[in-house]
Amino acid sequence: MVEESVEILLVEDNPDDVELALHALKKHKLSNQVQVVRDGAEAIETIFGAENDGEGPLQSRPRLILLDLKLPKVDGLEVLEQLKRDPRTKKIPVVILTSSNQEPDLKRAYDLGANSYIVKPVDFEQFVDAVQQLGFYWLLLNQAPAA
Amino acid sequence: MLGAPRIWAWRGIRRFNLIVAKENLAAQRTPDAARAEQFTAVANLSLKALSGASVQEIMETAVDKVALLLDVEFTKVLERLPDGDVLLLRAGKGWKPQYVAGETTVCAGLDSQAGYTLRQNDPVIVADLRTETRFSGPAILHDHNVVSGVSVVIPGSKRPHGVLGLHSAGPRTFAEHEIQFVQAVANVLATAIERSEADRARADAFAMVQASEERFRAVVQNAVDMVTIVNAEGAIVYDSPPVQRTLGYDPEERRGHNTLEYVHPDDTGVILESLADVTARPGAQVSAQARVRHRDGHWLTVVAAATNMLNNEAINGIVVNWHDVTERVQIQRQVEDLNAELEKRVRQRTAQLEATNSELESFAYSVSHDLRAPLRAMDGYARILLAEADDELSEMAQRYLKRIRHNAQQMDQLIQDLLAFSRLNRQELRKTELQPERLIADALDALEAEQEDRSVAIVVGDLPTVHADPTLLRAVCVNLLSNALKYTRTREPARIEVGVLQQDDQREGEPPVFFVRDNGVGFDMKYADKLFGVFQRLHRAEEYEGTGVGLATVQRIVRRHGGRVWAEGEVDKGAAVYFTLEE
Repeated sequence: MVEESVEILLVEDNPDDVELALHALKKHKLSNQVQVVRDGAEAIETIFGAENDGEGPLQSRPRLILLDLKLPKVDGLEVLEQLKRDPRTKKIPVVILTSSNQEPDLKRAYDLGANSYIVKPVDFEQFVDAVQQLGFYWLLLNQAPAA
Repeated sequence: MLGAPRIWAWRGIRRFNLIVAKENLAAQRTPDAARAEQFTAVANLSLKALSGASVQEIMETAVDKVALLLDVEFTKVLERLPDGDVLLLRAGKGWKPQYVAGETTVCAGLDSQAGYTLRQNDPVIVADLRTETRFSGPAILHDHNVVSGVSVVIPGSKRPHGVLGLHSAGPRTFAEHEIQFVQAVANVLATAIERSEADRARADAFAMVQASEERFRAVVQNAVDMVTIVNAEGAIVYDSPPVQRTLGYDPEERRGHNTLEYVHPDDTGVILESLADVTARPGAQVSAQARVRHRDGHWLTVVAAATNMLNNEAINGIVVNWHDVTERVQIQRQVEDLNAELEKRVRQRTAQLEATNSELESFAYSVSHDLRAPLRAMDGYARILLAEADDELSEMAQRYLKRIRHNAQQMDQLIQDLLAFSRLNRQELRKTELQPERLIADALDALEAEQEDRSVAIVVGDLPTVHADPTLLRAVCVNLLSNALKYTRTREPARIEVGVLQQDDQREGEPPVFFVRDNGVGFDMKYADKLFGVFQRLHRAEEYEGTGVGLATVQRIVRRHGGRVWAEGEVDKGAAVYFTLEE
């Protein structure tokens, strides 16, 4: 099933930020588990399907979502709100991608239930920090040569 | 109050003929006839007093009658003057012309017969003045060779009014009924005097009442305030003259008309209500404002204070004091209009400012996102190239890549500093009581990297508690200490002092002046005014890194707290920044 193959959903509209993030992940062979969507509407559709009726199985259930806040169409905060409101998705960890830790929207994101944040451009060290915070060691363990 | 008359024996033989003559005269009347005459005289004198004759007239009649009926040459009424030392001759009979009634005075001392009499309850009878031992007798008696006489007190309710005296140049005895007659005359005089005094007091009181009424009338008629009296139904009973001056109606014109006829239709409700209110409560006072019609038809605004005096017999109405406030109301309305206009403008400006502010907010937001995104990409790609393609790149290429990264990061820092700086003005001040030592310790912790591998002596003096926003004051500390650390980099050892200026002439209530002083590279005072400008730098970037926002930030924070900031320095000798946190 598709669901199992997607471990990380990256929601980011800036191609350079996408590329830099993917590069950081690829170095540690995580990029083939990453699905990239370029705006909020696409993110919603990827997870809930074209017609979200609020119940039934999800179209896709990523293990981790990396979410930029400033997105075309449906912005990051709206995506976050929908995810955290729906009982089927509210437990999926969401890490916010932000351009500054002074971002006023960051506080709002935490209020809505965001789990962590990464300041862009994403480098792998920050990514490891966020993953460790969330207790997602398996994401990293997968990559350990011995595992 | 007649006791037993004291009679002293007459001795001596002076003026014998005269004495004989008098005894003959007295002998012409029978004692009963004499008593009847005396009684009639007292009765007539009383009637005269009751009929309104003046005290002077009564006194004159009294001295005449006593002289005639007791057949003596001299009689007198002496009035005790207020100070009590002197008696004034009010009326007399038989005395030489130089003793003018109303002008002649007699000493009231104990040595005079009259003075002595004043202090006695009983008539004082002198048989022979020449051998008298109780008193010497005044000049007037000696001047007339007086030998015998009687003095009685004219009694008064508080103190004696005076003395009635009769005297003879010859020796004379006085029968008891004669002395009673003299005292009766004195008593009539006393009654007349007291009546006249009471009349005078009444007249004075009446004059006072009249004067006060005239004053009141003058006040009512000349006052700017109008006075109108209405009855319980509101009908006008009286209009004071100012009503004509203000409203054009002559004083009689409105009498009998109901006061409501003159009130603006929109205001009759208020007036009816006030009238009902004041009528219901005796003594109550009620105020109201209403428009009333001038005789020529235009409307005036008046303020009226009505007092219920229906229970006052003299007035039996409601007294309304009122005055024209048309001009005042107009001015007040203008002031209100102006205020409303001002408030409207303030609201508009505030809305504009809010709009501007929110535009700035979204501008800042775009700047932080969109302007920084390309920088992030430049830095990111350069970093990857440096990390992963280093073996393919020449040394020069690697160096240039490092310069690209450095510049991208520098610009990113500039943008962030600028954003933080612009946020300072919008951020709300949250003042609390703070211990500055804590903030300084925090700031030094945050600046730990700057202090690594350096020998820096940081001396913090005693600092007073301050009332400030903790986040912003911390930023002040970080900026000032960061500067001090930065510009003492070449000093060994570096020394930084933080403290409060001790001024000998510091007055009570003046805010403390804080300072951060260092022994660093300092600056030239001629650039002192540039220190606090945004992006103003006195050092080249190669020497001392920085974006030139630090002191501008400090200045903005200090000013937002109501304080001021200034700096002193000398090249190579160090610098000091001073600031206060209140005016």
